[in-house]
Amino acid sequence: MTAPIHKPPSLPRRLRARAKTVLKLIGYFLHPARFVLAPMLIVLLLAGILLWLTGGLAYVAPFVYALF
Amino acid sequence: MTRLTTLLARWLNPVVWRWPGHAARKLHAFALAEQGSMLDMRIAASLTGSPRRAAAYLRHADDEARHAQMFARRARKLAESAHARPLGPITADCEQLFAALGELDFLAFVHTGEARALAQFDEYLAWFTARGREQDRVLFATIMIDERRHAAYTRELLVELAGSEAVATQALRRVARWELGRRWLRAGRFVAERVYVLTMLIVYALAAPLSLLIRVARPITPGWRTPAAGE
Amino acid sequence: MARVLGISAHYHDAAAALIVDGKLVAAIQQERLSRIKNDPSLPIAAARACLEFAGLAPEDLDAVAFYEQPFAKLERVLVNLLRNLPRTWKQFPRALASQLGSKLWVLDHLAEQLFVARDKVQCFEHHRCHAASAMFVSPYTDAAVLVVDGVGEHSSTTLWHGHDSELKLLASVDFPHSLGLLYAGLTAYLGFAVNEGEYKVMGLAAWGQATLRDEFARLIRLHADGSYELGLEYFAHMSDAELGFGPKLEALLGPRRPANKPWEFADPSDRVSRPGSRPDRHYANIAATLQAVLEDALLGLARRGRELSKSKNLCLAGGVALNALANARIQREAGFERVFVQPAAGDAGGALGAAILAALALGDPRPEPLVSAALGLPIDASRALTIAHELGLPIRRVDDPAAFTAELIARDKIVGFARGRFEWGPRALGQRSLLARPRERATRDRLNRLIKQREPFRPFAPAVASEHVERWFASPPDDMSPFMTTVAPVRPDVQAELAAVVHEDGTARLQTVEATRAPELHAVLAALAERGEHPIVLNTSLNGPGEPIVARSEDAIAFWLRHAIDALVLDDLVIERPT
Repeated sequence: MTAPIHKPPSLPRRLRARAKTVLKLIGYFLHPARFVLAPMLIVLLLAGILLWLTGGLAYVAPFVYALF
Repeated sequence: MTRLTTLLARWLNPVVWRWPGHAARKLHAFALAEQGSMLDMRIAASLTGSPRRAAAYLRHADDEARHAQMFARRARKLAESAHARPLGPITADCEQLFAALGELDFLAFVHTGEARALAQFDEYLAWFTARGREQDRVLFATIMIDERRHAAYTRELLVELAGSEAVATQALRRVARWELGRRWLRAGRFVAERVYVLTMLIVYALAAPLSLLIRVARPITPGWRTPAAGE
Repeated sequence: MARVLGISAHYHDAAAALIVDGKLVAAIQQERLSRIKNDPSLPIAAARACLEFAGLAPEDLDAVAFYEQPFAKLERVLVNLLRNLPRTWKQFPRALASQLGSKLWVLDHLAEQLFVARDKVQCFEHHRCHAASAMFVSPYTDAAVLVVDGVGEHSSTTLWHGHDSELKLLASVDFPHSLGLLYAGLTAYLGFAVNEGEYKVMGLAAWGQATLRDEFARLIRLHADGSYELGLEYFAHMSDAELGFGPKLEALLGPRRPANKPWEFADPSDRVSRPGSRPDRHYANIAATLQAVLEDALLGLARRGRELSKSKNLCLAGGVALNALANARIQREAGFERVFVQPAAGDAGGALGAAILAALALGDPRPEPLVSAALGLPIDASRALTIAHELGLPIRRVDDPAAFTAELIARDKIVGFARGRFEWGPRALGQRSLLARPRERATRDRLNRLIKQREPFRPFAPAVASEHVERWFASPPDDMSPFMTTVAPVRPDVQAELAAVVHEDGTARLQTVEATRAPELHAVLAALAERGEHPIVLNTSLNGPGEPIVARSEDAIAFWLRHAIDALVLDDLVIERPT
């Protein structure tokens, strides 16, 4: 018997997983208890697009857990 | 790459070392680099399958830790003499290069780095000697003894692991290409980060009305909050 | 019966914990393997090490549980950033980059990097994980559970009632009011690194007097119902990721203490202010007042927990539960019969809690009470032997490592002691320790000079065979003392005999050692007793300043190369430095 080979999932599979996460996030922010936060989705969308285009930002600081 | 680093070191010497505050920051950066390298070597020691190479990596890591301390000590003194802001602690990150590159390319990377550092430090040494800066000259001269040994043993191990000089050279070329790519990405990220921050600040300004909404809908409430049903 | 991996990551002290068929099999902090102190990165190495130790492959896992809910966290971050507009302008791009760049996708990343199906990855609320990490490995079937940290998703303090395998939330205090962030802000003010220097503040407190109660009454108001409220205008944790306190705090307490400035009251006889030491005495008073106020707040919370839960037992969790001084006071004054704090009470513990919650959800029973913190990887003695030979080190086997170690300690040697599996949590509990004779104050100075380089006010801890505790300490062993999460007063008549481990206030952060919990260390203590020595040692972590504690043989050998200790014991191998 050979041990299974562990490989990261393929790109389409990863993209599918990300899409599911995005859908869940939208569902989360559109929940009636958080309806007032729905406009923030626009902010998130803009930030997401920018991040995707620019490749991200690395930052480490002591109080990140309070803010980030 | 090594030639470029040497030339840069030669041209920038007067700018880097003339002012103690500047020099302190440079030496502090060296201390951080040595500390980061120490971490990579220690991790390599625990990941390699060969006890012999593990031993060599541990010795190397120990040298790097000592160098980090030596650079940090001198940096602190220079910062004090310049009444500069205290330098931060010597806590470095680690790139996990052994896992990322594999042992052969890791060795090629370490060898390249050591050879480059030697060439760069040689330039510094000449500059300090010419200006009679004895403490700095001794610091670099002492560290260079180890760097020479590091460059030699990593070359030896690289050829041994590669099985032939030709394969070792291939690994060195591969790593040089990888480093070039890394530099390109870093430069790209440097620019991209600034573009991102600027654009996000515009988004932030546009989101100002949301702030009012949040303050009304989600005020800060001190004291106990009792859980909602199902929480 | 299930196989569940718990994960904590992304803030500080990332960790993995593995539960197999209701048994806690392994728990490892990422920093031990990555060698980066407080490493917050996704603990893939720690997770793989847990699986390898248990002989499992990723596909054997039934669930992977993360210790935080990413969407709820993002919600709080966004609400806070927008609520504090325009002060948050600097942090806004960074915070969103951090959230959208990695934290939001953490469950996807875990699935991809651990090679498990995405639908096996789930998450639980941060404070629920903390509560589970304490309650479900405690020796109690019924307890109040108090969780106090910086902040999770929304809450910074929660009270729970734990009964059998159930946890019921009773009440919470929400961000930005936070005892953890109060302590962190003052830690930064005193010039220490946040998330690391909190122990130093606790040590410093013993050198001062709580003389600044009026000033602190503005920083935090304690309410009669046990809750509290921060004077938010003095803090900056809502808008500044670097500092945590604002200019008003400096106006109230004076200028902050510069980081890395040497402390000026090294001599214990320096009990009164002298011109040179005056400012540091003031900072010690701030630390003492902070400690006193924190203890008052925690007492109020614990008493509230007792009222609401009607339980006789208390479990504490969250980073603030690592405050051993406060824990001792809670044990004495909060009205509970028993108090328990698991050794990794901080964020690392969240991995354990998440794993337990997922295992319970899959129908497993709760784990057995935690007996030992030795949940990491063992020493690989054969590899240590070959590497040491390659390095030309004088390594050899001994028949009785405990007796050998005891002999060295009796001769006033400092011994690096690495036996068995390494510890879970920030304390060295005899698996990766530096051991020394606790009699002479000079031993402490030597340790500091050679290795630790600690501030002069920081104490070293004693480890004592539990059967002898009452000869030395004025309180008996309890549920916390095996994990070094409490302090005990040292009997006045023996303080001179324990000069290296008695703190300024006459207490010590003791570890009580039982043969069943820490057999290797207990054997050393027993061997000391056999030699006619006191069965008590100075026990401090096997690491240099700023380094994680030694984990593997390679780390131990690297430590040996770097630091001039007298001997290193690696399982049954010994390296001695020639005198």
